[in-house]
Amino acid sequence: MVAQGADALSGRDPATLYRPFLAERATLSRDGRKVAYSAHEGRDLVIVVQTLDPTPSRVKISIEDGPYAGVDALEWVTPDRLVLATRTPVIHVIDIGKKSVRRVLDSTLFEPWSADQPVPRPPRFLGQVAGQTNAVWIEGVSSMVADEQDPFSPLANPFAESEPNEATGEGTATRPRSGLGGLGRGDGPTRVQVSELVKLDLETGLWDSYASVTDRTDGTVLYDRTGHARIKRTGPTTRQSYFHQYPETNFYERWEAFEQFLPAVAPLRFHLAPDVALGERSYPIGFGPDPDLLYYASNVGTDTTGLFVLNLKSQASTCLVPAPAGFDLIGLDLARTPNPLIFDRATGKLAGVRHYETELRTTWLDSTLGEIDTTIASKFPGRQVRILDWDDARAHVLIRVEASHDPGRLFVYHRAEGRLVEFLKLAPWINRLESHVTRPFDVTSPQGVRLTGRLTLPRVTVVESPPLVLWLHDLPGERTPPGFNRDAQALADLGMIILHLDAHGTTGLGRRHREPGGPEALDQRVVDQCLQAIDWVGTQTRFDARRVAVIGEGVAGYVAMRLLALHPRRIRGAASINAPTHPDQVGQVSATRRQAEQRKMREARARFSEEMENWNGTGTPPRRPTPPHDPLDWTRESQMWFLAQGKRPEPLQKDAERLDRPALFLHDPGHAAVAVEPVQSLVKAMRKRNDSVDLKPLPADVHQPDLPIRIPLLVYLRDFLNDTFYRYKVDIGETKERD
Amino acid sequence: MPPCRILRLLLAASLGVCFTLAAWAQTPAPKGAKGTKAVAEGPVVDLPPLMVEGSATPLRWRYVALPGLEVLSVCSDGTTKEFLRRYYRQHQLLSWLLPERYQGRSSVPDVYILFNEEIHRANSGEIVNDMVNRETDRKESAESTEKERSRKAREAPRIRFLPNMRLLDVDSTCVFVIVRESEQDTLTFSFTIDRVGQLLQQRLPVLPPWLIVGVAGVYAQSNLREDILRIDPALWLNRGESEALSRDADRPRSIMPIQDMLAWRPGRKATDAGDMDKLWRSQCTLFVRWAMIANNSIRRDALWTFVDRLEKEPLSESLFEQCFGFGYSEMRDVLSDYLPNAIGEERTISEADPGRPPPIPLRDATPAEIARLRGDWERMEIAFVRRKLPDLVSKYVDQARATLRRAYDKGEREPGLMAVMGLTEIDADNRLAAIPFLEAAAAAGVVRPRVYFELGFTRYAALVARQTDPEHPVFTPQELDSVLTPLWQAHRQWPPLSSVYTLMAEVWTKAKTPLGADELHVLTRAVEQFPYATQLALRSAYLHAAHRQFDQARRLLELSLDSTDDEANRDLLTQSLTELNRVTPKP
Repeated sequence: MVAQGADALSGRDPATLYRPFLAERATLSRDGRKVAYSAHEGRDLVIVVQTLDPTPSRVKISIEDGPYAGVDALEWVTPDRLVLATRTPVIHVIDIGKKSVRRVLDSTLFEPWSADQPVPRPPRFLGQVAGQTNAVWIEGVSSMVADEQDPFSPLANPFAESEPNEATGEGTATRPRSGLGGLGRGDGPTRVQVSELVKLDLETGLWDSYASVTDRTDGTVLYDRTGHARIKRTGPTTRQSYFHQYPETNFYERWEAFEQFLPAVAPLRFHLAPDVALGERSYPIGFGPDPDLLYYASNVGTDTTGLFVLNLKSQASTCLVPAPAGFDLIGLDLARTPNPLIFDRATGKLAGVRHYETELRTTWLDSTLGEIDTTIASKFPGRQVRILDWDDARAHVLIRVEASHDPGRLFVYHRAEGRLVEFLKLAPWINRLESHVTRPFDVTSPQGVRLTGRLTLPRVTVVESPPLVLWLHDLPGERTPPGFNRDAQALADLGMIILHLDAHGTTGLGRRHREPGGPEALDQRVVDQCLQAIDWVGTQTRFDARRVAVIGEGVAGYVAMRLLALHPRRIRGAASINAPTHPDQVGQVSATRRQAEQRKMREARARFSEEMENWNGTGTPPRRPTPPHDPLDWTRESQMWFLAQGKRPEPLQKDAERLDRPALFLHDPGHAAVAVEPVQSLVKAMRKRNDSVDLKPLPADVHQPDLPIRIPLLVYLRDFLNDTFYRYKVDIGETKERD
Repeated sequence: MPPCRILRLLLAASLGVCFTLAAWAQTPAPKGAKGTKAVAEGPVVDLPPLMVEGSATPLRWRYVALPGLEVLSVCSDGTTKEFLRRYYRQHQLLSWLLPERYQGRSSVPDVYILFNEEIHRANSGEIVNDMVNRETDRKESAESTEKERSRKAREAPRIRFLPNMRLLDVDSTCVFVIVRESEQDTLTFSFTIDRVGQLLQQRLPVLPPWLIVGVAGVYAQSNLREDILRIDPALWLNRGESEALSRDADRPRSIMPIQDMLAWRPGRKATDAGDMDKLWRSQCTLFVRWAMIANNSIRRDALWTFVDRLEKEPLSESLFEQCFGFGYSEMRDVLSDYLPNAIGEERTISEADPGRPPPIPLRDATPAEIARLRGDWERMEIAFVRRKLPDLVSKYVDQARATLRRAYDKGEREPGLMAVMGLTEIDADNRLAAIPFLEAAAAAGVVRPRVYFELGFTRYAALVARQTDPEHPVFTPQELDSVLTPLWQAHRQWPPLSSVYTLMAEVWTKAKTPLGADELHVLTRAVEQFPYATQLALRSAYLHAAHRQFDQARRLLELSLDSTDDEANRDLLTQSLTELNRVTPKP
């Protein structure tokens, strides 16, 4: 449908589109009578408890927390009590009957590790303690400077973990050497990571320490349901290994490397290094009620990652859910991501696993829940249905039903009657009849290349053949998310077709789709893929081939500019978001940021000196300032390794003279991994021949897709695309398309 | 399931009578034994009103025939014309909600008898008192003890005459209206929900259950009293729930998946009863309301297009989306969002035009017309009274015969009169006496499908009775023709009767008649029109299979199986299907 009138497509208010949805978390009480969900009123977090039967009623409880506080977990601990864990992070207990909220744990409430080394330990909610009401597991992880002279410091622990062999990654049972070695990247004082698991009493707010793991390197720890630290991943950046200890281990830790502890599983390659992070390996996910059964993911011997279970006693491994062809069942676990495993609250058993093929799906290991899922899904053709929760009797099931053009609604399904009770629209302010439909695609080009991603067609266009915007996420990186995509909706509001392409390097689509390799350089490979994808869109719908623009995030922004430089006849304009001018720049801290850090250290040392001079020798001495900690980021490590492989791509500086088409560079001046100076230099060079190039500053954290902070990005892009598509001089045809 | 059952099951019992009500005519308490006045404690029984005229003051009957309507009236011409004008305007307004082509129709005109309330009150009380007392005395005479006589007196039923009533036969409708001429605004009536329900149920091809309930539901939310069509705020489930929703638009609600709503067969499962049934009814009404009036009625045409296409195509989401522009899931969301609006929505349908009533040429009724129309009403009362108070059936039979005989004895032989006389004898279980009347009516080509069916059935019954082996009858071609000829005549009139085709199929089955494509097609169409008629489906399927049309036979059985909720019938159909699949390969 073509809009009438020049002002027909101004688009919806971005504040409406980027407003956080309701029910970031929702949970059904175990008796099936109430649903609790999170919401935001303005910037404030509230928890709403909806009673469904017999008489519907609603209670709203305000939570004192940070602005736009995200929710990590919301769970029922008793029929009238909830535990809420926010990302601030804070742990709250909500009493429904009294409509009261109590903050029981936050970063300020953990005890300092030692009296003179208070450090914040942001608590991470791990779940409820099995068999106990009002008790939850909390993990606190922090890094601190190790005092090598202190015999009680972690470094002095003679029974610390076995040190991994840096060459092979295999652990040994030797005692660790004392002295130097530890966290951090480069020079600086030695740091240690402290991971502590505590059981928190929600009633009293008191907590008991159950497990504590210290390490000289960044890593992760997995605990079993009884509160024992069982698996940890640790080691230097070059290679980290997995270690295991039995739950019977007492005060002293007894870690053994997987390959030694379980020789039979050695071929499963339980390790992590930059060169295998995106490749062939296995990694643990968690424990069920049986502490001897470890769930893990693996793609050893296959292209895609499936779900397995390993018996730690018998060393037998079983495939629980094979990966579907072309899609990883489980993500890569390079960063802390939501656990895809679904456990039954009543039995504690593994019930299913969530994964993302072309749409979100759940594979159920519990046949009853699988049947319920199938039954409910049949009632919503063309929609994505997800079971979120169920009561102990399995008489009521909480479900979310959504579509690409509709953020969705929540229902409770009453099994006995086959009745669906709708109680919440996740975004009532969004009119789905004004939204645009997005469809996934997964095809093979005539050249034999896998093309996959999501295509959004505008409901209304300005011209008969609408323009096309190709959007590339950072590479290597996660896939375009499913469901309601705010960026796509905002640009489709302007009558544009949006093509989100999951180019080579995208994770979640099997190893072959993300491992580097091939005769051509990365930029050329992705550029070719982009062109093939554009051609494919032409077989699906009509668009104006003279009006194609590319937007790229991160390294893909560099590729977007390369595409513009190499194919100016096919690409009308390009925009990059926090992109380098060459992939080698990824990881380089900008001079601006470095100078700012140095300035802060100077100021901190000056304050310390002054405080020391004024200290009278009693009470807590002033704290010596330490350099900021740069935690190990496996996403960045794997990205840097990926970008360093294969034939070297060309820098954009060489294209400066060729880039005479509209180009927009959007960059956070303080970006942690991509410095802004090369971009500034490139823009300066381009401006000698091109008056349609611009550089705009972005706020930090703009990559978060669901927050209003992304609005400035959208505004820049919207203005750029409007100017590029509808007013740019063309070689043929009218100068202006719009009245 | 027959449409009539759908509506009876689903509509509220208290649908209300919208005609101006006359006072109930109560029977006096029957006298007790030995002159004591007994207190009547027996049950109340509603009976159809009686038309009784005193011999000293015969009534002056007026008559008019309009398209689809015959009216016999003792009211003044002014009242009669005003009644008919009002009727016409209401009919026009209704046709905006339910276009005529979706209303049940018959070749036999509807009959309206307008009676004056004062006359009715004066005469009917005496006659009924007489009727009841005679019956009581007859029974009393057989009793010996005073105690038993007293008990009988106490238990005698209290009879109450309904003021306005509609009676139905399979091919005709008769409405008795008591009008209080002495009062102003006596004719500000609207059609009852019962009448609208009848129009929906009797329509052939059968309308889908969701549409029948939905249209009836929207009508129940409508107000046509002032010669305009006004849709009042919607009612969702019950008043309490509606009020709660009006206060809180985000209140939790159950909206069924659309495919479930469209495919729902009320009364099919045990779980259908209660809340889900109520939900279904409310949702059908909401959906039809949305289609008809939401967004300035832009989807009203789409609704009827959908209904039309369902008569030719199987139900599918694709079909639904082509008509309404939404898939099932989207439609469910649309309805959910519309619900709070509907509860607060009032709309006057300016496009609904009551029109200009046609001329009404009233004249004096002929004796034949009086006898025919009154007699037909009194005939129809027989079945009603048989259900309510069997003891009085003979009185109503006598009354009907007396009315008809008044004209017959004077030499009237009008075909319609013959038809009614024949049907009266049928309804009085006197089939042999009916034959000459039915034959006379049929020979004269009366437009009355049931006449032909009853004639055919009576002839067939007589043929079978003469067989030495009724299970394996032998018929001559002439005998078969004598049965089938009237059935084919019924086939050519409207409405089609399932019993006609069932009898056809029965005759062909027993006679092992080779059938051509036309005959088989007639049976196929009949099953499509009456899928709930199990015997029709079974016989038709048998005949198709006998003519090696196995796929069609299978289809007819499946169609009927999907339409019946009677367990015994379902078993029969299932067994037949199993047997058919066993002996013939499925495609």
